[in-house]
Amino acid sequence: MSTVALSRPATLPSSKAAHAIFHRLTHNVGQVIHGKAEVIRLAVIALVAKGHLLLEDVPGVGKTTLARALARSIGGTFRRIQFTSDLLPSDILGVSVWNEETRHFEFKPGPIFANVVLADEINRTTPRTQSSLLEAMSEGRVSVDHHTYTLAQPFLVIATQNPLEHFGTYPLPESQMDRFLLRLRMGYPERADERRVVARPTDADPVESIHPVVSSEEVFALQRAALAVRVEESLLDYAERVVAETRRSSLLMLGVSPRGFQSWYRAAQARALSEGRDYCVPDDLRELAVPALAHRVVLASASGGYGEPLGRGREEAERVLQSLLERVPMP
Amino acid sequence: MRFAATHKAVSYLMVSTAFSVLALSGELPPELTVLTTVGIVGSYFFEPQRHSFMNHRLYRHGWNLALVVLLGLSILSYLRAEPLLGIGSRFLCCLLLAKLWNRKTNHDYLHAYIISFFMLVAGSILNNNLIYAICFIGYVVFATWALTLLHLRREMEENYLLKHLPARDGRGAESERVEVERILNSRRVVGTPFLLGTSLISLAIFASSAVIFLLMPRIGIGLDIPLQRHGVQTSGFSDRIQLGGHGRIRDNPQVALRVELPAGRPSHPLYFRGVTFDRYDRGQWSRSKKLPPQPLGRYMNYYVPGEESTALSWPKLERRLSGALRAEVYLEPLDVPVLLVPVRLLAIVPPEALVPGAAMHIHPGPGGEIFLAERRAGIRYTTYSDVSMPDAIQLAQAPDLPPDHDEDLDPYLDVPQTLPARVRQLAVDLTRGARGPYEKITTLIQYLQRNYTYTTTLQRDDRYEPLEDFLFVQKRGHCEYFASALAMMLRVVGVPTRSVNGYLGGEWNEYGRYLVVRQQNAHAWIEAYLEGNGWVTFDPTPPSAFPLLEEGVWAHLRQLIDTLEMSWFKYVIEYDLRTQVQMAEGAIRWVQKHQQRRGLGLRPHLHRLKYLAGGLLIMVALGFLSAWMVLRWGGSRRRGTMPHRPKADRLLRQALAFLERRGHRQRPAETLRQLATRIGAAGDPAAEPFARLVDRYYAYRFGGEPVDMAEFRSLTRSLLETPPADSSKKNEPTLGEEPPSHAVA
Repeated sequence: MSTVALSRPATLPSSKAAHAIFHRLTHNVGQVIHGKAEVIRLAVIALVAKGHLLLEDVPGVGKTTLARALARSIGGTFRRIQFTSDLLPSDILGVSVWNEETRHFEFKPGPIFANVVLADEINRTTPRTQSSLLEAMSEGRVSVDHHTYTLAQPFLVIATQNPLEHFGTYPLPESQMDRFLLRLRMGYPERADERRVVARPTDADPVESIHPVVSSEEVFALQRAALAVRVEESLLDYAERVVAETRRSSLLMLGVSPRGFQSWYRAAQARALSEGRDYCVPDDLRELAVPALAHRVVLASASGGYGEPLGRGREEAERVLQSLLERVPMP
Repeated sequence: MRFAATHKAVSYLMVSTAFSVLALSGELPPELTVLTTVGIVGSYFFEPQRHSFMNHRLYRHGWNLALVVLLGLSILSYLRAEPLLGIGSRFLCCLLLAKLWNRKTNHDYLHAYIISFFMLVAGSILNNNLIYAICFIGYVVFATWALTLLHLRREMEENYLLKHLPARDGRGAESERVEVERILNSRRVVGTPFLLGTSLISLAIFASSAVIFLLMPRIGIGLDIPLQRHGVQTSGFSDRIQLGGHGRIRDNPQVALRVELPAGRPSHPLYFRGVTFDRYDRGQWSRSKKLPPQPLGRYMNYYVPGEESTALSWPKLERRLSGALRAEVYLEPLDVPVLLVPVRLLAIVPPEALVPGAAMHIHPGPGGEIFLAERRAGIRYTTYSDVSMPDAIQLAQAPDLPPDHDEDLDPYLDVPQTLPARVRQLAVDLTRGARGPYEKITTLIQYLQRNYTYTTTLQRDDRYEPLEDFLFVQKRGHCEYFASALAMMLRVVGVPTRSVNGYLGGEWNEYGRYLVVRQQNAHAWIEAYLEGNGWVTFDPTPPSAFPLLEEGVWAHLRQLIDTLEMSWFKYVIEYDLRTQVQMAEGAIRWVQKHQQRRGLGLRPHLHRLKYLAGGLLIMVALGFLSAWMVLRWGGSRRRGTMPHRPKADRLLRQALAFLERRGHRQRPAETLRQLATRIGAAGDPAAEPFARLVDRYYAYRFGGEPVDMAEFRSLTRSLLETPPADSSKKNEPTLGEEPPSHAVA
């Protein structure tokens, strides 16, 4: 919360310290989720860049575990919302109930009031409910009955959707997709990692075994430090050209929006920090281009519409983006 | 030089170059040329800062008022249907003067540049000479200087002062103002390297635009502007001739026409016929206008004098032109729109008009002249002439004119009342014993050549009729007197004659292998009508009249310069779509010919190829040099932030080249890190040092961290010294399995 930031003078951690915090976080989460270092890192990057994650994958690959482990590692609260077709906005945001004693309406916060929120199968609910969540994500606060409530900070939403099912789903509209900083795929674990998970000798919740390693203050410091990461002019030029390519390409109906551009930029800054740098390098942009941009473009071939598995359009979009990236020379 | 002074000097160079193009075209009235020149030079020494009268309100208003008046006058002359180009260029001169005499801020300089640019554009239409090319190159260089310096000055004067607006007490601004003054007076801002470097750039630009000039499809619009020339009369003739005027042009070396003769140098001087006259009166020749034009038949684009179009056919034309002398004539602008043609003209192919392939309109005159519908800046046409000597025996057999002769000949027999009796008497006396007109002619020519001397420094006694003065008093004169005397005396004895003005001879240019005919080669002679032979050329002027050919270094130099001018006209002004197509066809033919002959045929051309290659190399080198200078200049500007950038980049390129040799080529849009990871995945030990190098490079390039070049170099070296990878051996098993030779030994 902003009050925290005010109470502590804004001294930015050195890039080494930032790297150490990053390392602690990823390492801690990595104890629970094996062999997914890259996904964990991107999740932390999303947290540091004050963005949100969209995980697209089949059930049972550890999306929930990731979210819970991350929440626990930063010592924050965790809520999970299972999205169904009959979910209402108030089920997410909270409701005002009549208190007989005080004779006032009293606000009962919904599950959104947590540091890490897992929005499971977000495409199963109605657009109305989806948008209530997404509004909260971008604004950092919710409005219920003429009152505005500020959400907890740090605040990270990890939404998941199943790319294969399409029956009874409401795919997120483009404007909503744009609000996610990164879109990731968990992917199946490596063979050895999978064996280790399956053959675990205990049935205790692995997440319970880890402890908070990073304080909220440290997360805020990281978030501030990320904003100060230096992006050299030629890198910005490069990013600008890539964005312009997506807008110009005949293969795409919709290119990257200015917000998308900014998300990419911020994510690259956070990534630089994750490697202990206070400056961006081409790799930061390059590696994050697909996770940060692919879900923001709309293919001209109009696939991925209703009644078609999400996955196919997604792969196509990633391929198009990849080919665009290869066309723009690196600085 | 001080910055401000350099800027001023360079600006004046630019402006005056543009003005010279206009002035040297000869299309400006001479008074204006002089006035503007004086004005430009004068304004250089007056600075508004130093001369207070220039800051006076009346001074400024005076200039503005004058400009308004001039604009009004210009509009008036436009309404009076004067050509717009002339009015425009005159007004430009005035505008330029006004700007230069009122230059206070850099805006005024900028305006002067714009005016000078318009002058250059106008000049490109009016001025077709080689001088234009020279001025143009100069302009390109000067403009680059001037605009660069202007930009610097503006940045300093405007942005600097804007950013440092006066503080409320005004003290802050004071110090800044001094700062700008200091820079403007600094001698260190621009020096020779700057001027040299920028001129090299502009020359490189010029060279590349020359290539574009060669390759772009063209139509010759520039040639099609009708002209109106002011100033002195340049050619030796017009539609009426006053005897005595000839002497003035005798020393004028200006080129009138150039003639390419495929047959080579002519064996005797050629007569180039211009205009003819039939009426003589008191020393003045003119056209009586009674006569109809001679027929001019047309077959394809050949125009044949003396024939009707219907009577022409290809075999007839072919017969007529066989053995004829072909001449390509490049005619400079003349006062009279007449085409000069070698005597005796058999056929002419008129100049081409705006659209390639279409001919300009020509029409015949009564004396067999070829007139152009409109005077052009400079034109080219082809003539076919019979230059063989007429057969004297056949001429001698020509009878006296019968009394029932063609009445069209009457004007050519007309003797004016004013011709004194003793002139008539002389003619009758001299030809008393002669049989037939030819003998009369030769007798009179002999008489004239023996008893009269040629001179251009003429004395005149106004009490006598000019011919009487020449024949009985002065006994000296130039070609017009000789020709007129012969013409009139022959008319007295019944031989029809007409006076012809044109050019004789010319100078053979050894370098370009063409004939240069200058204004000083202007000449007058006569044509006499002989029954059965038609009009025959006779020249009574003594051979001593013709100047000896110049020799020595100057003559050679003059020829050389003229060759350049001819090439300029032929290859630049006349350069059009047709020439381009011809050039391309020629190139294709050349290649085909040598493909057939294989390598053998190339050998004779090797020396030429060498020159070509040399020229190309020089151009490429110039381009590279200027590019390098630009880069260096750009680099030094950023020296504050990235001093070692080029060195670091070079080392990195070395590293990349090394990796490429090892089979790791950087893919498009692959980052250096990704490359390092890929190399590492391939098991190449070079991955590790390369990754370290990339880290250092990134930190320096994107992180702005200071770089230790020695460390960077050693990193590169350690990469370059990496032993060959195992993986590369796997790729080439034969190499890997072979034991090294020294191991065997």
